[in-house]
Amino acid sequence: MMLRLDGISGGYHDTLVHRGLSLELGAGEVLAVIGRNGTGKTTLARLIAGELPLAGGSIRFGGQDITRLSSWDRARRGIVSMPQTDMVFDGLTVAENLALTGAKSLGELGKRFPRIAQRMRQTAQTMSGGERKILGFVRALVSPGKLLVLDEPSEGVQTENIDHMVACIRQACADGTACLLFEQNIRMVEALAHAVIGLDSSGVCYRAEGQEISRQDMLATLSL
Amino acid sequence: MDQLLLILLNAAWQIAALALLALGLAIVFGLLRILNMAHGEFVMLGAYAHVIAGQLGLPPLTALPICILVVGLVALLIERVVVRHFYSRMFDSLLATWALSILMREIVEMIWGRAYRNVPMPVEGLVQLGGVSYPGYRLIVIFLVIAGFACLWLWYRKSLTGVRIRAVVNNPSLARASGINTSRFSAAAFVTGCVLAGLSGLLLAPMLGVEPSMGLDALIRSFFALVVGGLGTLEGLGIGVAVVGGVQAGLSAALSQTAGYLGVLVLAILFLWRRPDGLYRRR
Ligand SMILES: Nc1ncnc2c1ncn2[C@@H]1O[C@H](COP(=O)(O)OP(=O)(O)OP(=O)(O)O)[C@@H](O)[C@H]1O
Ligand SMILES: [Mg+2]
Repeated sequence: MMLRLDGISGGYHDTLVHRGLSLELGAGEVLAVIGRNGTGKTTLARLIAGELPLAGGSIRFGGQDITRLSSWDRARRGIVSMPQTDMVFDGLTVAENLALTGAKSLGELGKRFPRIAQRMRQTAQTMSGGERKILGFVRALVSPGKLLVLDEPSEGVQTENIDHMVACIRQACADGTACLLFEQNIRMVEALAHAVIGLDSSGVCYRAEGQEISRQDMLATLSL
Repeated sequence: MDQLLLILLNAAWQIAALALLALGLAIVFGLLRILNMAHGEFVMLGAYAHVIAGQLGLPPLTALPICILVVGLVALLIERVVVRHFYSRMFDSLLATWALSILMREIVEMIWGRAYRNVPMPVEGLVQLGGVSYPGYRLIVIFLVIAGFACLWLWYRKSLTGVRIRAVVNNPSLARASGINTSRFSAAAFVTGCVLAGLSGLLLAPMLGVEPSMGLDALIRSFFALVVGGLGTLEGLGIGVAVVGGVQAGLSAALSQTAGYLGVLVLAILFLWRRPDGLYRRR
């Protein structure tokens, strides 16, 4: 298993958002986590990235226990995260944002998102909301790593570009990368997920794998 | 004509000395968002490197490594034990570093006493420029400051390390998620700022003299320069020291030394009141 959460709990100050949540994700797989606003998707992503401290449980990554590691140590071991907000360095140019990942070239991503390749000298702050999401996504995908943790990459992005994102994630998974996809966009989830976890206010309310994944159930998870 | 040249040289000297003094404070504020009230005490500690070298019977030039070592170690200790708990808490960090400044002053007083000490010029002699003869040491310091700032600016804007520093300041959590150890970064930034403060004390000691209470003046003047220029950027620091140093030198030449100090004080108050962001604002 690439990633394994064993009964993790965590949240903010004294309010726990997650209690005893477990999940597993193998190399080359996409696990989608869906749920309405405020059900704890971002919180879970931040617990995995190490931005928030765990209140209980353990996290294993690539066969090692990373429960006590800082976020930068997790990043160095190959956990690449794209946060939901502030997913780029606003004060830096596109080129500087990409240079920090250590990647030499954009490759396929440059062809799929030509706007990024054309705007190398633009400051990220001056880009549109959708463009910033795409830049954050490109940053994550060119970063060397084994696990992608993407928090709502499709939010505010037009359909055509979401399709490009789907293709890029597929390509990364074909190369052995695992992907934890936090989403509310059912189309994107259907196109990618090998397994789905649904969250509601009391925790995990839905789990499905492969053929069992049904649009009906996912829509039910996302509506009241 | 010679009179004008002398005024210009004096202004250049004032500006260079101020830039040197304020750089450490600006770095700590710009990168860590805390106002280091102990900044002046690090200037003072750096100046005492001359005294340490003298007491150990070492040649004057060894004051440089002594300064870097002593100030660096003290700064590292203070950062790890105290300051790191106060990042992103502006007011608490102000109080904590203020308390540290008193402690440092007391300890230095305990070791070396209150006496004011003179430090001889490392480079004696005057340089003839047109009809003006000007102290060679000051010219050297002016040159070092100009070259140093140019290199620093280029490095900060163009190198990958510069990009990483700006990334941490811009978005610390994404920087951590990109594998940057922000805790070590903060320690390095604090120590660098303090060592630069110490170096300014070392270089300026032949003009300022050395005494335990010399830090206050250094802190206030650095702070004024930062307020006028705009807290937290290299460009703002450049503008701030130019305006404050220029005004002080100009008024001192035209009226008196006291008028120079008063002018700077009025300027700083005006800025704090009417334009707290300073002259240089980031896009
Ligand atoms: N910094 C914080 N401090 C305290 N509570 C928080 C904080 N951030 C989020 N919460 C709370 O934690 C819960 C989960 O929030 P979270 O951001 O994880 O939801 P989400 O599923 O990502 O929602 P969205 O779809 O809107 O992004 C919410 O009830 C929210 O109010
Ligand atoms: Mg969220």
